[in-house]
Amino acid sequence: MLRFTRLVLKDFGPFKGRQELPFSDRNGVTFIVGQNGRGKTTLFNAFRYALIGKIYGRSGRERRDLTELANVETARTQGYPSFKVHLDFTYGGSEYSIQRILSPAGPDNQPTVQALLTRDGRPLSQEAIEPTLSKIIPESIHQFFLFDSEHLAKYEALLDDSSDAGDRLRSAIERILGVPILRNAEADLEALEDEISQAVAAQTQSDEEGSRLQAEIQNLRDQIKAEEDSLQQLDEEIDEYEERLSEVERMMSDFERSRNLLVQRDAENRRRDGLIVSISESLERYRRSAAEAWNIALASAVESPVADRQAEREELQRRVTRAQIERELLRDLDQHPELCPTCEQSLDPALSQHLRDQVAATNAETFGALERRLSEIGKELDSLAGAAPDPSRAALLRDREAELARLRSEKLDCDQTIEDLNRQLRNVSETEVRRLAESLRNYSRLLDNKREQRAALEEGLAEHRQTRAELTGRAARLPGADPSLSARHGLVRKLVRLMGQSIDEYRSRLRAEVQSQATKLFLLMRHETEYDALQINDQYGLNILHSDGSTVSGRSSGEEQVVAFSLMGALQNSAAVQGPIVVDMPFGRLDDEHKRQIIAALPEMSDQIILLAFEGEFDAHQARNDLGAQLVAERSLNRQSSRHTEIGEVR
Amino acid sequence: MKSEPTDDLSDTVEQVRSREFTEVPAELIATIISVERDHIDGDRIAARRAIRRVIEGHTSNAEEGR
Repeated sequence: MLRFTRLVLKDFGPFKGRQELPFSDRNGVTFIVGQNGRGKTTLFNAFRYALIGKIYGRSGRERRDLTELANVETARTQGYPSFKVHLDFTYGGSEYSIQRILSPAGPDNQPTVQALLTRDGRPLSQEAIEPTLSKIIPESIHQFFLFDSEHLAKYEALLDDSSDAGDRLRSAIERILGVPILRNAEADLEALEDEISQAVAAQTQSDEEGSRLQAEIQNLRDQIKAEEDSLQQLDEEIDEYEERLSEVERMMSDFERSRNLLVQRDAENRRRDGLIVSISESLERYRRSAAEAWNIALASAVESPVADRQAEREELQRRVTRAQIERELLRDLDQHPELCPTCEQSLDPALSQHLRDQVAATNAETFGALERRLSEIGKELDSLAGAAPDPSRAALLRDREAELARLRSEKLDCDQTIEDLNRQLRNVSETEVRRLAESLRNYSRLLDNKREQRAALEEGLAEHRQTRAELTGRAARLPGADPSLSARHGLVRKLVRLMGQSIDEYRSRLRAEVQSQATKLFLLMRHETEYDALQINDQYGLNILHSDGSTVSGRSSGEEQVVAFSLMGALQNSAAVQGPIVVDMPFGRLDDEHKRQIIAALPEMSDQIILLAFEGEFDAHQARNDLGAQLVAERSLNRQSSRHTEIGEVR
Repeated sequence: MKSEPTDDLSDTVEQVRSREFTEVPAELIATIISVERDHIDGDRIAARRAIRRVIEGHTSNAEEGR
C-alpha cells in the first residue's frame, strides 16, 4: 500500500524557496486550506507530477512548458526558471523518494527536467524510474488517488453505455481492480497454446491423416495470426481515434463555458423578445385604462371646489331653513296680527305691522337669492361629481402602471445581462465551437464502426482458436506424437478456458463488491433519507435507488458529487492497488449538510486523505468536532505576495 | 476506518478452478497470477516468456513425478 510521508517543494509555483509538508503516520484526514490563488491546485499538481511526471491544466490537457511552473520571483532574481518537487513515500515495505528537478542544463543552458528515485536510500537507474513508479501507481488509475472534483462530469458518463469517456473510465476502473491481470494471463496462455499447436503440427507423422491435420492446423494458425494482427491494428486505430476524440473532448471542455454562455445568451435574447411583446401589450392596456380614468388627473383640482361648494350649500340650507321659518312667521302675523306667532300673547297692532314689514322685506329678497344660489351650487356639484375619479378605475390604472414599470425594469436587467454575455463572448468563435462538435460526432461514428468490426473479428477468432485446439488435440493423440506436448497442450487449453471464465466471474463479483461498498459510503454521505442504495451497471456507473424501488433521474450536481465520492471510496476499498486520496476542490457543488457528511465519511475512503479546500468552503470547527482524532493535521496556505505562498501549520 | 482489502481476484480464480478444473493444480494458478501481477504494466514479451517457463516447469515436474 502506498503512503505519503513528506512533500518538499522548492520554487514550485507560488511556493517560493524550500517548503516542506510532512504527513502524519497516523491514519486520517489532513486539511490544507487556502484562499483562491494561493496554490492549492499547484500543490495537487505537485503530487501528480512527482508520481507520473505530468502536469495537467484545468482543461485536463497536459502542460508541456514546465518553466511556467517555476516561481516567478525566484526566476527573476536568479535570471532563469528552476524548481524541485520531492515526494517521500512508503510502498511494499520500502521507503521511496522521488525528486523531479527543473534546472538549466546542456551547452545552451536550456531548462531540463531530471528525475531521481531512491528505494531504501539506494538510487535507481534512469531507465528504471518511470517503470518503477508506474508499477506503484499506474498513470491510467492515478485519477482515483488524485481526485480533481472539477472533472466530476466524466463519472456521469459511466451511466451512458455509448459514451467513449465512460469506456475509458471503465477501463481505468478495471485496471485499478486488477482485471488486466486475468486478461493478460488469458492472452499469454493463448499465445503459448499457439506455440504448442505449431510444435504438435510439426511432429505429426507424414501419414494421410497426420498430413491433413498438419495442413489444417497450419492454415488455422495462419488465419488466426492474420486475425490477431488485424485485431491489433484495429486496437491501435481505436486507441488513436480515442486519443483524437479525447483531444476534441478536451477542446470542447475548454469551449464548454463559451457554449454555456451562448446558450445563456440565446435564452436571454428569447426572454428579451418576450418582454418586448409583454411591454407592448401592457402599454396598450395602460393606455386603455388611462383613457377610461382620465379624470384622475383632475382629482386634486376637483377636491377643493367640491369641499367649498358643499360647505356653502350647508350654510345656504341653514339660511333657507331660517327664511322658511320667517315666512311662516309672516303668514301667522298676516292671519292673526293681534297675536305673537311665537308666544301667542296679544300684540300691539303698530308693532305687529312693523314686524310684518321688516320680515316681508328681508325674506322676499333673501329667500329668492338663497333658492337661486342653492340651485346653482347643486348644478356645480353635479358637474364636479362628473369630473371626480372612479376609485376602482384608479386602482386598475395603478396596477397597470406598476405592471408596465416591472416589465420595463425586467427588460433593462435583460439588456444588461445580454451586454455582459456579449462582452464575455467577444473572442469566442461560434464557427470553431460548431467545428469541434462536428469532429466529435465524426470520431464517435468512426469509433462505433471500428468497435463493431472488432467485435465481429473477435467472434471469428474465438471460433478458429476453438477449432485449432480441437485439431491440435487430435493431432497430439496420433501414434508417434510426443505425449509431453499433448499433456502441455491439454493443460494450457484448460488454463485458457479457466481464465476466460474467471474474468467473467471476477467482473461480476467486482460489480457486486463496488456496489455494496459504494452504497455503504453513499448512505453515510447522502442526506435524502428516501434514497436507499446505489445500483451498479455494466460500466461501473452508479444509479441512485429510491426507497420505492425506482431509479432517481435528474440528479443534482451535489448528488452527482456524492455518488462520485462513493465510487472513489468503493474502488479504494475493492482495489488491487491502494493508497492515499488527494482531493482538490471537494465541496464546490455541495450544500452544508452534504459537506459535513462527506467530511465525516472521509476516513472510510482511505487510510490517508489529503483535502485541498478554500477558506470558508466548509465549517472547520464542525469538521474538527466530527472527525475528532481522525483529523491528523491542518495546514494553511498563507499569502506573502501575489507570487509567494508559505505553507503554515494550523495544528 | 476502511475495511481491509481482500484478494478477491485470486479467490475468484480458485473458486472456478475448484468447481470446474479440479485437475489443474491450485499452485500453478497462483504462480501464473503472481507472474501477471508482476508484469501488469510491464514488458508483455517478458511476461509471456515467464508464463512459458512456468508451464514447462510444471509439465516437466509432473512427468518426472510419474
